[in-house]
Amino acid sequence: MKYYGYAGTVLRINLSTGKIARNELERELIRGFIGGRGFNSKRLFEEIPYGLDPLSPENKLMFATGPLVGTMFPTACRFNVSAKSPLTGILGDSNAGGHFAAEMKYAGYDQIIIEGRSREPVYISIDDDLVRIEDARHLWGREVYETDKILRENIKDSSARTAIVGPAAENGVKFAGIFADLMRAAARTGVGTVMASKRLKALVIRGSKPVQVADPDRFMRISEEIEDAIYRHPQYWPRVKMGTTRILTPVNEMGLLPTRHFTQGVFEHASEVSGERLAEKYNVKSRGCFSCNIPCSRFYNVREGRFSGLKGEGPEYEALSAFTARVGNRDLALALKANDMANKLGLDALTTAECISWSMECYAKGWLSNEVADGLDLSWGNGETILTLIEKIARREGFGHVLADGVRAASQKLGFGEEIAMHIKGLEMIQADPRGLKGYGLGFAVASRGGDHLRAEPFIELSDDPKRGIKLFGVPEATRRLEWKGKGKLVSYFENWCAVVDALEICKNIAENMEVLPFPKAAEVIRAATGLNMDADAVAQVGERIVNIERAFLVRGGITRKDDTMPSRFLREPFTNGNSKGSVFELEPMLNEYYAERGWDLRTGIPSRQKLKQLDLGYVADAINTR
Amino acid sequence: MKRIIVDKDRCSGCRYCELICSYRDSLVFNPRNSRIRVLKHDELGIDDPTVCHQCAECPPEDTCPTQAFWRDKDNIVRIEEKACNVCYACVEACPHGAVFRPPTQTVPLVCDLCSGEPLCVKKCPTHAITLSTKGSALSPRDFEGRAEAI
Repeated sequence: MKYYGYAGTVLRINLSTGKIARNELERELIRGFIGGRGFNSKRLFEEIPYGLDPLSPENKLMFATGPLVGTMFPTACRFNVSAKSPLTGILGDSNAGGHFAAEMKYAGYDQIIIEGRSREPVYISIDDDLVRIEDARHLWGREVYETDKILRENIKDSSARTAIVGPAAENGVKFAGIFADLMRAAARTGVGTVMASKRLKALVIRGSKPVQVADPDRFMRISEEIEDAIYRHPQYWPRVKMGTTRILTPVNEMGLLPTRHFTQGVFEHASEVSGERLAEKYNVKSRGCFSCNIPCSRFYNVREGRFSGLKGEGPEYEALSAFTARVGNRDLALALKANDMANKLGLDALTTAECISWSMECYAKGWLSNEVADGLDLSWGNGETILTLIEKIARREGFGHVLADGVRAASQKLGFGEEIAMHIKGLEMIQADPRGLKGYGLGFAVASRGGDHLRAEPFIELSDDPKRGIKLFGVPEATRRLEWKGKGKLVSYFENWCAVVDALEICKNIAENMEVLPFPKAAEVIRAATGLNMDADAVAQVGERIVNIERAFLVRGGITRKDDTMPSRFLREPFTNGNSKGSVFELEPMLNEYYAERGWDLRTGIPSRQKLKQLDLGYVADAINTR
Repeated sequence: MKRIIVDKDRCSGCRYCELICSYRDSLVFNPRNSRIRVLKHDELGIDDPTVCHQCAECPPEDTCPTQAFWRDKDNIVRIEEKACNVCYACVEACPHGAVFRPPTQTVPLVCDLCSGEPLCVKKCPTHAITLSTKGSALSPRDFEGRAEAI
């Protein structure tokens, strides 16, 4: 039978040879991995050999979307970009919303795989079945917005969607992103760097094909139910007003807002840079992604001061708090400017802020001198320095060149600050201190792309609802943020859930954080949209399968239990003030519980053959030669 | 006299309107088959839903060679499928760009107000699209001087 919801075609473009191939989307890929991140992770495992240089032509850049994208299902608009990461050397992927993914679907593609390397800069133009590789020499070196403008002038169609890399990617900065609709950044793990290494400046997509679902009436009924659940949710208005920036204030109150490079958990100027402040001072309009009824993106306009005239979308919590608390900056407009620069130059805002704040801590400790840092004053919160460094990193100039390979490499090159380089497996950590949020912390430690929260997002540990902890994970501690017990089970469960959400390519903030799409509901909508007969357990198993094949990709690259760790500050130095005072991160017992729950070897953290076979991943077990 | 009124400052650009409009006609989702389109300008944060406003002057004289572009008994602007020769003169003539050329190169698409209860109005999350029942048909002059978005 035909599976609805999907476009049914995988597009492969080889930039070395110019060959363009269309293949049918494999049925076993659909059944085993649903879509998006699942498709990409499976293919990465199969097609990227061990030891491959991420910046070689042999690396592959994969864009994938999910079965609900292009329909009216609320928030179904996202895409995953995956490749072997040049920043971390392990699995790299990033996810973004906006309108790009839907356009890709309407053009007729579930997955686009870019291989090889062009000799000259090119962009790819896709207009339904017409796929062309076009000259981009006139675009090379240009910033993201500028590139978009020129491309649009050329095609004279405002409905086309673009995904673009900026100068940072071209200059080989290892944490460059891909920017869809100008400001929707798929920027973690350096996927933009891989794109530019293929001399690919942009994708321009237009599509006019319909997306059809298996059971329209049923599908619309479920979609409406989800829509209503979103409208009725207590988080609806806070999210519309502030997006994810709404959490800056509570994270600070809990005493876990990474401040001055994780040296504190409370930022004394939080109220000057909070989501509330941003909303009242600068926000002018709500914007939403494609097919979303909770427009949580905000357009801001700075009307006064030295940044007068600055306007744009966002920022979200991570970029906002990274360019404020993390670097010790209390000037909100400056943070907007920093984020705007990162977007236009094409940088990952989080990693950029980590590199800057790490330099500032090294400077405060007297390890880093002015001379090494191009004479910059690296005092906490120095706005000029922050903006100058963003530019220098993107251009790989002077001290920026040192930072442009990420914080791990910078600390190794300079020979100091390795123990305070805040990364996990090479990916710079997000804006939440694991000492105050144990489940999230465990999620960072085991995440398959490195120090990141989006693999697990176990938000219910913030609920402080012991009954729920007992019901779901057997112990009341599971739902208390400062306790470690039950967190292995918690993280395992939520990782599976997030993997399903990423495979469907819907919004994690809504489907998972707002709890509108638990596994049984996901099974229902998958059936109505695609015709695939899956129950809730089968859907959860897809999540588990994705997590396991990603783990296998890491294991094949040499990752084991010893790498599932985090910088020593979190393990040894308790917070000295705030509402997480005295807390450290209890890594080892949590890992034990997690591996046991996952069916992975306790000593090595490697998935067992039995577990992989149970997930129909016997060939993966053979490939990594596990017991 | 019913007509659709849009407020682009309220529009979030989610394109629910395009989706439900295309679904109504064919039970599939395809914004290119919609009778309402959101024009977007991301750099300036502009989202502008473009749809027929039932202007008083419409249809402009001598536009349609086959008189397929007309107003029905309820005074609603329509394109009569049987009479249309698919020349797209109406697409060119509409000053608001609210008559659309479908990808299949068939009869142009224009809003028909869903028999008086437009689905886009019902679905719009931010109430940027509303149905007005007051007064006479709008003339293009009524749009002049409307606040520029942002």
